[in-house]
Amino acid sequence: MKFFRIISYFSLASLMTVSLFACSGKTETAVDHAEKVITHEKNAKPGAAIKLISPLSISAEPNQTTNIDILLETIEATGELTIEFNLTQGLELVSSPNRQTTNLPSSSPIKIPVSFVSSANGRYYLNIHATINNNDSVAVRNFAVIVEVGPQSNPSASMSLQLKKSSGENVISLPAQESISPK
Amino acid sequence: MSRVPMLSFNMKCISGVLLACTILILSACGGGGGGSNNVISTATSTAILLSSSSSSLSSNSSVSSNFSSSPSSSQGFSSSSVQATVNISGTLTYDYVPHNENHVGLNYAATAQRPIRGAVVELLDEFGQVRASTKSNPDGFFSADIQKNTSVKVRVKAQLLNTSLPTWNFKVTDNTSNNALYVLDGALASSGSDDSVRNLNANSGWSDTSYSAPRSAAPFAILDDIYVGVIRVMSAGNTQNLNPLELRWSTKNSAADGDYTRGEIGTSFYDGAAIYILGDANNDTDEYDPHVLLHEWGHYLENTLSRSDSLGGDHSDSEFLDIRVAMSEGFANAFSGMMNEDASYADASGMAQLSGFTFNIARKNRPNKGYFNEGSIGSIFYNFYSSNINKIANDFTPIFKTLNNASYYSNEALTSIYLFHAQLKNLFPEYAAVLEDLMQEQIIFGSDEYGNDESNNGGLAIELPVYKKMDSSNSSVNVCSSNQYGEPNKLGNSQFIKLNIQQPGRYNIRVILPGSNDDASQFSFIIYNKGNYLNYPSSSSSDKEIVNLTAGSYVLEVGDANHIDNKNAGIKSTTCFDVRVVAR
Repeated sequence: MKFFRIISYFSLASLMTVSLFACSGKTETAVDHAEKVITHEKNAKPGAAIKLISPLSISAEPNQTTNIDILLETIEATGELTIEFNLTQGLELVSSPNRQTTNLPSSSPIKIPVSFVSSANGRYYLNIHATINNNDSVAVRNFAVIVEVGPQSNPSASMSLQLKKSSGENVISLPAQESISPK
Repeated sequence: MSRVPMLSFNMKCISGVLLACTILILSACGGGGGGSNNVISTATSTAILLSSSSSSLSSNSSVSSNFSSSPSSSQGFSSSSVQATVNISGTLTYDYVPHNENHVGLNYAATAQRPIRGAVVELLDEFGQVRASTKSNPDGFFSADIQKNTSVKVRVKAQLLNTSLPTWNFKVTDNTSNNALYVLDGALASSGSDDSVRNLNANSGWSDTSYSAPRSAAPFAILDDIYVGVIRVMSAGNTQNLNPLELRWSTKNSAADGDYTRGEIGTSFYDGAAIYILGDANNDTDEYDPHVLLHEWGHYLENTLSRSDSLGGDHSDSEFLDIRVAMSEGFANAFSGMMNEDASYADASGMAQLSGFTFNIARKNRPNKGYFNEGSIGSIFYNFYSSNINKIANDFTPIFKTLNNASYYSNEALTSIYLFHAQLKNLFPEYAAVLEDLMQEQIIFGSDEYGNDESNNGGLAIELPVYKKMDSSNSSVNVCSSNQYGEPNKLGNSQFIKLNIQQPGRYNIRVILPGSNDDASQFSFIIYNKGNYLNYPSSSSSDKEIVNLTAGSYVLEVGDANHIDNKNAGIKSTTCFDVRVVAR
């Protein structure tokens, strides 16, 4: 009986040892085996069911007209798509209307040719205000194409507001309209 | 004669003398000169203001105390003459620009001043050192004591801070200036020898037809929307700390998608770490769009106090979305309406912020009804919230308590309207009928957290059942992935399998071509356990994927990798796989 008990204990210990080796050698834990980091898109605000396919950014030369095709895509099958352009100061449209309307459905992707010019190097934005109007609703989505004229520019420091360090904390000081009076 | 009566008499005598002396001392301090009288009256007026403002808050007294003005430097009503301090108090306001009555565009002519509520307020000396710190109360009032004849300025931080449980710390910062905190600064002026009042207003910066001055009001408009959200969540019974959060806004924040330090943020969004907010005048600004801000804060709330399995990404009211995305976006829309007590979502944009769009969150009659439509989900949530059938109208509590319950955020099923319904039914059975009626109006019939009995397939037969089922007995199931409605977060891109494991152990999960033993290529598959990712093999060598699973339920998400890379929306296709689970 005692002998049998010893055998039993030895067998159990052996089994456990073998199991441990087996597991440590080949067992894949779920975390160890993950091959890809899962990334989520950002949770964006609501807007029209339209997206800018291309371009997101382009390079251009100063004083030279640049011609591009803006490609948009929408799932909307009815209604009217209106595109309005608003260019940042320093960038100008050339022979392109700053407002265009297209009936939906349209060919996919929707192609909108645009020409523009800038006289100075810098980073500009071609803003696109897209409105989809159908009998059911009106929705808007805004895009902007980054236009780098000349060599890539560096981000400029905030010029209009004061950046101060206060008690170890960086602050942007905003002016107040204040009245001071005795109580 | 006993000793006791004598001792008692002596104690009484001494006590009486002491009391008399105390009264005399206090009288000397409080009476006599006008300054001392002012200190007492100040203390009284401060107390009156605080009590009146507290009554204007919700009935949750702990909330009002968390946001009441609590001058940390105050020495009490006798401080002035004893410690040579004076009191500086005042009202803090910001310019609020409402939308037009039709909810399209901003109406600068109707600009009104609103109180800056719950913000950190400091008195700084000429060296920038903080000499007193407090918070503004719900009326925008602040009060703090400071040494007499000291040069100080009032600083209002665009920050809501609570350091007692439950804690919170919300800051409005500038992502184009190293995330510096916005502050509103008054002028350096002497505190004088008497109490004084300093009122500060943050101007919008708008003049006639454009912004021509610093937009000081914007960060405080943003902050006030968050204040509303915090108050309402606390009133709904929250006891948990809220994660610190920055709301990053700049006049440079535009629709360009690029470098955040340049303001190229693309749109207003929440990315799990911060909320970014557009501020590009004459294109798109969101600081005066409370629905936009509370929509994003609603995502933060899901993330912090509940759970969201949403993929994020672009979305709109008319689209057929992944069930998780529809739930999250629909809830966020409804949340913005609930917090604003206004079902008219409004987003101003365009030249002079005069255009934009609006939609009715509560609208029931809509196209594409179903569990995949954020409009349907938002309508259900908002109409449930505002319903008074067997419940209190406009009460956020049951919604919050369902989302904040472990049975929701630790559930094996993915987050969807189905999961919300199942848990509300468990926690608040008296409200189930109201919710179910609203769901059925939106053609949603799933009976449990997995959408069993759903009959609305959104036009895609492959969608039903919403969750296919497998168990660990060497079973196989066929699923199909489609980009019929676009990609990467649309209905059909991913299919869901409820996997039931009876025996813990090692399992080989394979995704193979239908009717063969060949591994499929270009597939995507994820295993979830209560919303947490367990594995994500991306190669075709799935037969080498061995996973240790304990007994319980899991969700497998399987799809065509080409349908989630957002590159092939123009090429419509449907791809089918066999998914097998084999015990090792």
